Amino acid sequence: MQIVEQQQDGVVVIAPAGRIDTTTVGVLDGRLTPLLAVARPRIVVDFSGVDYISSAGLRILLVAARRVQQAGGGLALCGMGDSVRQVFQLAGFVPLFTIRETRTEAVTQIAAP
Amino acid sequence: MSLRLSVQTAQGARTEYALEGPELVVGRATTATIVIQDSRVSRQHARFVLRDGGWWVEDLGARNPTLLNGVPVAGASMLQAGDRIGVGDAVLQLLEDMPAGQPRPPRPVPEAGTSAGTAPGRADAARMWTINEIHRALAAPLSLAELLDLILARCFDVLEPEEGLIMLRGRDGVLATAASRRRTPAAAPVAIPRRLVDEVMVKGRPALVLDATYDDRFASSVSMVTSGIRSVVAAPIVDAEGTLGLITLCSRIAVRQFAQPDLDMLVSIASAAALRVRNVALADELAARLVVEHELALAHDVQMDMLPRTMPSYSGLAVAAQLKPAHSVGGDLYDVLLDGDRLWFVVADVAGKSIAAALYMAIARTLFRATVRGAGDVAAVAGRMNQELARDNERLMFVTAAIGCLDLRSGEVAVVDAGHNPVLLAGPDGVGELPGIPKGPALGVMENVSYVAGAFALDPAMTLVLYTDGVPEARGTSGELFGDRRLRETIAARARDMPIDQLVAETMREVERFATGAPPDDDITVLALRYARP
Repeated sequence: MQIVEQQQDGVVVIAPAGRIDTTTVGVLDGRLTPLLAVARPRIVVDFSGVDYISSAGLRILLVAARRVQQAGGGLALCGMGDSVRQVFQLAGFVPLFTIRETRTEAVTQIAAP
Repeated sequence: MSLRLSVQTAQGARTEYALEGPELVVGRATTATIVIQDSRVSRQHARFVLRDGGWWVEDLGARNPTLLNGVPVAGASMLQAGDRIGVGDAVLQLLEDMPAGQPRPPRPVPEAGTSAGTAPGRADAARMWTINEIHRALAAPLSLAELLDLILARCFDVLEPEEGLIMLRGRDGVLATAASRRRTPAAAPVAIPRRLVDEVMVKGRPALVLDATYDDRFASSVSMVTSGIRSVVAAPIVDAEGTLGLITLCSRIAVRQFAQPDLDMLVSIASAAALRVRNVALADELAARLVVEHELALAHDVQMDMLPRTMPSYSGLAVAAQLKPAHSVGGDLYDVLLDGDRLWFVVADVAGKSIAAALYMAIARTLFRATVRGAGDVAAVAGRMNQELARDNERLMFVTAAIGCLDLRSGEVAVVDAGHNPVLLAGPDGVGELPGIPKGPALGVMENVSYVAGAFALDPAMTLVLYTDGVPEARGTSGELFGDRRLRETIAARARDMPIDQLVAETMREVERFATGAPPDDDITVLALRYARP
């Protein structure tokens, strides 16, 4: 799984591509872990290139959301296609995340004031 | 120039003898010229003979063979100044006499083809012997640790370093010490400079350092200087697939300075070892994987043992369920429990596939059984289970679950959806999602969640179907998913008059037929329920 990383208004935007499942989730975890180790992590995960996410992928995002909350930063998700959005909905996780349509909205949402 | 024989016993006593012809016998017997009181020394152990103007050493059939520079003496061998002769635990060294007060001249850098202090012909023979020895040893069944120890032991016999080190690349690609050996066990290990290691590993080329004091790569290595280690040889353990690691030998310059033949020798040993190291490492890895697979198999057994063997019976009740586990441990679960006039049921799926997931699943099932007895309603059961699962859940494991309670007196069903796939209701008019069930988060994610149940009267003509995401996500050979629509069609065609066991069995079979050949990625579970109030 490829992950493209960009900086935008003090926010790190990571865009994984392909399937996030038991086999590939380690790659996403490996990329998120150092980003979460900073003082006030501000992270956007752009799902535009993701066509599937398994429960193992959801778990990594839950861990990230909790860390970000504890560290006083921000995490937002964007660019979800129907199948990815459905996985979040099924698990009842939509209310647990900040989810926006576009990358710009997501970055604006969590950028430092 | 005359020669002396310096004798160092195992007890540490050191004595010097002038080497004078025509011969001199070493042994435990009092008749020997040099008497060594040591149980490992034979009565007549070895003989030094002056022949054709040169000194030779001859083994006299000692029980522990006489060693010349670590190699057993076969018959007689010619000696040179600097040679070390092992007799039992004692070491005899041949020294040249120096006029008193004159400093020892610096030792010349040995030329290629010769090793300091050894005659070419004999040295080559000894080296051949060692290489053969290693090849022979490599044929024996050894663990990786035994193999590496053996390689180092042979290097010590023939190359006489102060310290030897074998580093291997781990599965994570990181180079780590796999075996080491030191002549003085108490001495601190020598830190091999990173630059030298990189040079050997990256270029796959051996390295010879004649004197570390004058070598750039050791500029920042204090330990080399303080330990007195000066001369180093290093060879990559390399095969066709790449560099597996390296062997490094260090020596004190006063004792032994390495030369090109030593490096050639080490390269031969390393290449003989490479193939075997690769094979043994693969075998060890396989063994480790077998252990993990065995544990997964045990976890799988635990998972299957948790499933109810028989379904509760109650007049008018028809309930059936099947779980087909994935190859690796999944975390599906179903349970059905009759408590008085209430029938409790659950279909659940733990995130991920691992032993941790299987254990979490076992906890969820135990919680379900403990919570339903005497519980107020199904929403309270979900709340209690969630509270217990969410507590101290640092890893954020979670369980998606559809939990239901059928009141057998009234025929009313209440269902909670904790982040699970929708519950289906099949009847004469087709198959649809059970309406009016509020979505709650999966169990275990956060504490203090108030779940809300949806309730309805279960018509005797209707079939309630619960399943896990392994069903719609089963993958066909073309990569296509089984999907919700196919699931509903499968159920609709059978729900009307097929017995409940058969409905479940045929639905499972349909999913399996769709995913023919491909082992399931995930557990597949289906539970179906009908009830006609008496």
